Amino acid sequence: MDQVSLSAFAFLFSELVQYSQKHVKGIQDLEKRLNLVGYRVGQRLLELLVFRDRGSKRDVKLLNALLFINTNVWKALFGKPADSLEKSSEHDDEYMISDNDLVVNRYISIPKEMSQLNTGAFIAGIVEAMLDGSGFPARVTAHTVPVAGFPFRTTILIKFDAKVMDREKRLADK
Amino acid sequence: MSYSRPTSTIPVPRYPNGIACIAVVGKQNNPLLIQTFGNAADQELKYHYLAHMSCDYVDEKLRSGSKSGDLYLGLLCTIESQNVYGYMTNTRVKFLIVIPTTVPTKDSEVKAAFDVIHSAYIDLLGNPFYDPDSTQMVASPRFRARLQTLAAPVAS
Repeated sequence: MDQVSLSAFAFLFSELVQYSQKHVKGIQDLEKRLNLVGYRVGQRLLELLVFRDRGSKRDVKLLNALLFINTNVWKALFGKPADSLEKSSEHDDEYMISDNDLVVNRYISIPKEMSQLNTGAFIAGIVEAMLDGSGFPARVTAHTVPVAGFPFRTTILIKFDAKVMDREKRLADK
Repeated sequence: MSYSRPTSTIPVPRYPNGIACIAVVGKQNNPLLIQTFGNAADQELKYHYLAHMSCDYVDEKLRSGSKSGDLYLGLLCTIESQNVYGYMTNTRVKFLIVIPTTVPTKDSEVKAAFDVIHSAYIDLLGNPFYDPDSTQMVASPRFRARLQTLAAPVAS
């Protein structure tokens, strides 16, 4: 697979964040903008990766789609699978994908006033587009969840729509 | 640039020889591209109707056999001595190939043809000026040219 220079990408991403900042009035808006940009990338990436890695198969089950994102997508984007995929114990429809050192965040330090922001919103947009396109509509957001040893661990929180959970239940019962 | 899946012992793919029409139908069953070839070039309207009818067959196939999640849907129906083969991508974009029943075709040839169309569609998506959610017909000349070379009769 072709390699892209990390510094080139870091500069490009930093420009993207700066450009988005000029047109928004708050943290939520900035995250939404990055999410939107990521969404466009994800739509195209979905088709490409399914064709390349999945041969002729579509993911019909939710878990398979998430596993596909966890391994194949992360490998294609960052060269390694994501660090963990967890299911939330409190809510049935929430899943979390975590990465200890998200490449897009590596050269970004968030100022104290914006500590709620996580520019991983770009990656959250990519994941949202891939799930939306495959027929699992969801709301995807990025959060910083520091853990011992990894102060910059980013967690991508995925909350599926009620329709998706209903369908999964029906498919499981069949 | 075209993407190819790792092939093990697949011989050089041959495409069906007498494709009458290739149709690309979007997520909401809106036509994105309907292109006719060869002798059928003057019957565009007929193929519009054919493509529309085939969408129902696609839905039927999906409802009945979706456990495997295969992209290739096989022979959908035969209308007016034309065979219609279907293929649906992950994002619910459908490709239809119409071949007259008089032409002998093998399943593997049709599958190879769909792979070419899928790879051409992915290239089309790579264009940042193309909006995958748009409901208009595809205007890219490069995409049309790729389909044209696919359907060109093989000189034997």
